[in-house]
Amino acid sequence: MGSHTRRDFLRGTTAGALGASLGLSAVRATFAAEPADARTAVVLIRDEAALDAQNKGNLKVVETMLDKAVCRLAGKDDPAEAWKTYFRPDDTVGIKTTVYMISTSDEAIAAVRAGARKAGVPDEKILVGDRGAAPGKAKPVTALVNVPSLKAHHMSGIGCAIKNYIVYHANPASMHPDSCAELGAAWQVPAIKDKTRLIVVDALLPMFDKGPQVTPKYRWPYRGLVVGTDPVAVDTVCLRIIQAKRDAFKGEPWPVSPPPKSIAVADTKYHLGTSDPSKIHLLKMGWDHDVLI
Amino acid sequence: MTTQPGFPAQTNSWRPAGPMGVYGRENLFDYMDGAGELYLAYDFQRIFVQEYQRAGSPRITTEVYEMLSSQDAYGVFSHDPEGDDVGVGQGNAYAVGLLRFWKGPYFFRILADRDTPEAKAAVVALARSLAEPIADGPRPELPNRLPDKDLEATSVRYFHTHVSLNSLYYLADANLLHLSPRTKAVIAVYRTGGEKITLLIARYPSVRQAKEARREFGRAYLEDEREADGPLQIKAVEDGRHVGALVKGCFLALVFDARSRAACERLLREAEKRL
Repeated sequence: MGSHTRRDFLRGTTAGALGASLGLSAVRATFAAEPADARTAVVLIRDEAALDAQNKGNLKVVETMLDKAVCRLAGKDDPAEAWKTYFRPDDTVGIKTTVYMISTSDEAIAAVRAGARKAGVPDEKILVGDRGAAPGKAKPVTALVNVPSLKAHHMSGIGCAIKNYIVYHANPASMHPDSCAELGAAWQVPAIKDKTRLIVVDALLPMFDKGPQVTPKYRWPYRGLVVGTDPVAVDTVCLRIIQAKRDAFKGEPWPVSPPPKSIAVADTKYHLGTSDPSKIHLLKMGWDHDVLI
Repeated sequence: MTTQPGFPAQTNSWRPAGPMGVYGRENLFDYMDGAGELYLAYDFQRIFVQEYQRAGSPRITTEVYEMLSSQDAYGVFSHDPEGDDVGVGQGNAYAVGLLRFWKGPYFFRILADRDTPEAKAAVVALARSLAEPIADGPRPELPNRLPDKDLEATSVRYFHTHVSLNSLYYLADANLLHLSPRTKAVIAVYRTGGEKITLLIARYPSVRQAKEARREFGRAYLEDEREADGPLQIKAVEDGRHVGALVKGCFLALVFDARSRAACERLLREAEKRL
């Protein structure tokens, strides 16, 4: 993806099909009806009971949601068998969270930890952290679960799975220019490269503007998790959720700004996955009230 | 250099939860990672952070951003001015536990992690205590040059750099307008007859720089160099929209998203009268 202008997005041709996921073009690409590739399957699961009236998470509900999503993704009926698709008992599993500002919820982290245990990974070999304590950075791991929160981001458009690994780069601030386009480079760091087995986006209480600083008026109880193995496909789905919420909030197109160039670059330059909605098999489960996509 | 804020020892029984944190331009990312870029795009100097707690009550995080100028304190506030007016500072907005306001060269963010009536009262009391010793400062002059008719008042954003522009209104990956910390710019929405039009005005340090930015915009955005040196250029672009550019002295005015050439020119001419 080279240098573009707003007009390129208006034309609907920029960044491949990703451009059509933004609010700038009248074109809205649709997700695949059938799986083109098992890796590009993305599960969106929601449950009204995931949060209470005060937006406090319900661990039991969130754990059940995640088990169902992992079963669907793995094509298994039994949660333990499904988790074993991704982790082995001899793995050291790192759960990479987001601790600052719009942080990953305790419930999402606990649900992922419980899932790794179901695969037979002992508790002492499950590492959880971010920044200096990020697993793979502080201590070596054999497998990673990427567990970001979902938010709009004033620098990168959205902050989600791809951006969650910025801490692994030797100089995170160097990745800020050009709308954080090169975030995919952080995924090439040897300590973590090719170790991500699962992505679990905490979309229980996302934020659709002014991220990453907490601005409560832009958070909403979506009560969802987005689960997959392809970070680019997962972020493409999450972008669509944020964009749809913004449009619904204003009652008119309110494009994510800046466009999340890092998603397209992660696809075309770093080959981390696909940003083309027509190749992403979106599997929706559970509560569909105001699902937005 | 201004002085550090006087955080009260107690507000409505909320007390400091620990020592005050201070971060400057060189270590702002230690406190807020990439979120700091928003402030570094202005003349940010330091941030003072104080947490407050009360047993059984929401935690309150108080952030005081010290800017070099009151104009830039206003600029940061202008990114999101919508909310309830609680009568503090030179501009404020309270919504769902977060109070944002500015006064003099300071921008404040006071956040209760749960929105309760008691927490709101404490947040407002903290704000008043912090704001009281600070003298008002001048607002930037540039927003006054926006035409009044059909202006959506809450849409006015004051900024300097390309990074800020693209987070407010994505224009291009490249810095076509040659924006820099020395540039002053304002962007706002106009609504008329169901139509939404965006007006951007930038003030450059010199007439030459304004003309160069105009030329670059004509070439790279309007994709038409023929009229890029003229005083006014309007072009029909995608989706039936019109974009216009006008340079006058050290000012560059741009109109986006107009549904007709006439509407585009009308707004540009209105802007021209105040440049």
